[in-house]
Amino acid sequence: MSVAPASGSLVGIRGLDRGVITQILDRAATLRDMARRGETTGLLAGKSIGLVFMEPSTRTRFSFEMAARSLGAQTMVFNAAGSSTVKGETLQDTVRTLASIGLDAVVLRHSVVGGAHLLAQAVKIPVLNAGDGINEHPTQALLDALTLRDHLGSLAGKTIAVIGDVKHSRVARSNAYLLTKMGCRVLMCGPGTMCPPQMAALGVEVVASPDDAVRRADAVMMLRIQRERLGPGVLPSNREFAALFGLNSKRFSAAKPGTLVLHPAPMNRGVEITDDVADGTSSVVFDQVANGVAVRMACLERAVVGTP
Amino acid sequence: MTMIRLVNASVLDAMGQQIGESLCIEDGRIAEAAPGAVEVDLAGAYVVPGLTDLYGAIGDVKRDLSIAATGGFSRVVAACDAPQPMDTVDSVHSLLGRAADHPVEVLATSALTVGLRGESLAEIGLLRDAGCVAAGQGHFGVPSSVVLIRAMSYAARLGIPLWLRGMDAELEAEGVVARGDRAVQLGLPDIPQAAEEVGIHQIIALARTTGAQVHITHVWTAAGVRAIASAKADGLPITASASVWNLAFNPERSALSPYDGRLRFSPPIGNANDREALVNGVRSGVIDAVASDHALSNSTVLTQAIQEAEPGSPSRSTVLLQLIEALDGDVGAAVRALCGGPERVLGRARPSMVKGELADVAVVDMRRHTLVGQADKTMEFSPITGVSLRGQVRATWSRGTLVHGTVGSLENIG
Repeated sequence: MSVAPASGSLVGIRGLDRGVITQILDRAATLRDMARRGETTGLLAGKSIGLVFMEPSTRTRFSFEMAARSLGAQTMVFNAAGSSTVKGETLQDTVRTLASIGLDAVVLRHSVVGGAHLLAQAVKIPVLNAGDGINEHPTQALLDALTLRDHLGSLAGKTIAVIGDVKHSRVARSNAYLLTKMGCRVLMCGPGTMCPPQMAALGVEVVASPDDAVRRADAVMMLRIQRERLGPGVLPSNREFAALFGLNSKRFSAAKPGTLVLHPAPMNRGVEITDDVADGTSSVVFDQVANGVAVRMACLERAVVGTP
Repeated sequence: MTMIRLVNASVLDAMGQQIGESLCIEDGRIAEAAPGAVEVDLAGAYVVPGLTDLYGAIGDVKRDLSIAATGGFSRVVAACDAPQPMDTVDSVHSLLGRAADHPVEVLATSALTVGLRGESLAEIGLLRDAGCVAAGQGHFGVPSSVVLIRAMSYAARLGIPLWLRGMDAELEAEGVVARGDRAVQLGLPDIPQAAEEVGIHQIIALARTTGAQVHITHVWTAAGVRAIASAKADGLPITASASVWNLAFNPERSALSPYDGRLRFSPPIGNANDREALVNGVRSGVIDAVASDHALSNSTVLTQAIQEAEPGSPSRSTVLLQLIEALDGDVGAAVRALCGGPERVLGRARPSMVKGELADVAVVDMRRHTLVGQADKTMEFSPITGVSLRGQVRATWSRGTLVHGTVGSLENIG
């Protein structure tokens, strides 16, 4: 039978309600201000956070590590990516390793879909999902939402276009859940191999034309093309993707005034986004990175001691 | 000499038709009622011919055949792919030798290709001579059309039936669940239903041109059922079957995490319309038979992720009850799919309810319930462990021997 995850776990956006999302975003904004004043270092003093990365990650791991340290917590990093354990280590092995160490919370990135969900059922401490296969990346969606809220005010009623490899993107999936829960209209667009009509099951509108999506959007979120991970026949070339679906200044010139540009990074400049758009005044890409730390502070605090 | 007379029963034949209200068994044989018989009042329970499981794994022969008996089976066809590819004469002799003394009959099927790799033909003629009733690929396919057409031509000449799963290997690829809203929402790699449609049409086309005798196994989609119905309507002599899981199990109603490895099946569980098409296919006879597709439970840790798990579940002790539930309580249709249907696929009927023949009989009491996992501990590794299924198999005779239950326990039936 299914066992409920420990209180404070964050295994995905799919199971969260709007109230919890708002609470995390509000607290992240508060912690962001407190951190600037150096007021957060005592919040998780004496606590230990395990950062278990069974898949390569630099940004997300650094961001979680910075968040934990900003709260005064110790971090223990298990970075298996790149070592020989990656291929052979099943989720079961990971669970056995973590069950008895005595951490206060664990952050898990795993290549297996549902990895964080199953770990959360198997251990008594809170589990934070830092990405499970192509399924979800909840803290990325939360930091995107905080960034959107900072610039757009309320999320309700806004139209957000997500363009690129939607099908294989955990960022897209978590954003679809979060944004629709918060009352946004979400448009998804990409080549048929990357954004098939079935994606509508996420509660989003699948749009054929990126120009149409950009025109209607209050914010455009471009996704990273990971060509090295795509099978044959998914995409003819980066060049064709850039021409037909990439965000360049010409395509973006049709956007409404004030439309934001987001990207979860790292960007393939010249593929999904051109330099002038990535570095232009509408881009909030580096705000996203900064907000990542604040959101992860809020999630870690919620996991270990609860949101005040 | 003891004669028991099961009375106040609903006695069904292999096609699930009611043929009487009592049955006599004397010294293990079906007998004419005679004075002095010990009457056992079954209070309306069903007396059905012993069931035939068309495919499923056999590991520990004694244990697995006992479990089969608790599920009402008196005959089990061993899958050609589990636990090992059945591709050598020695492997067939070994299985049939281990099973020879058990009252529950075991039939063997052979691998069609060496190691089930789909590349070179196994010695299916010698394997037939060793006792195999058909050759197949189990859960595996034959990715090459050239190898498949040659295999069919070769088997056709020898009169060896081929049991094949219709599934395009490349479309199946890394998928773990059926394509649909649920796969998108859970972020799980999917298998398009078209994978089966393509595979079944390929088999049908090649069977037409080679004259091979084909049985299509593991049907799981509505499109697959339609393709088979159409081929049968055209007069092609094919038969078809499905695993009980694909028509009777709804993962959306499971209390398990949707990422739990116990929810992994091959082929995947289809969507509601796929399951409904299979149920209707069983009712109409387009799907001739239902098999347990019993898998050996080798997992001891319950945190295996669906993406990493081996597909399949134990099921032989529950397949009849699962099927009856899926068929809205239609015991007759379930018996046909687990008795007359498999006999037709095998081309060998057992005269199980005929006077003078050894008794192959199961007693099924639909007024009781079975708590899955309570008696058959291997079901702990099934996604339906802890579920209460309506019905209980109270006794099974196989080849004249009472292999499950006791006559005494039948007296307080109901």
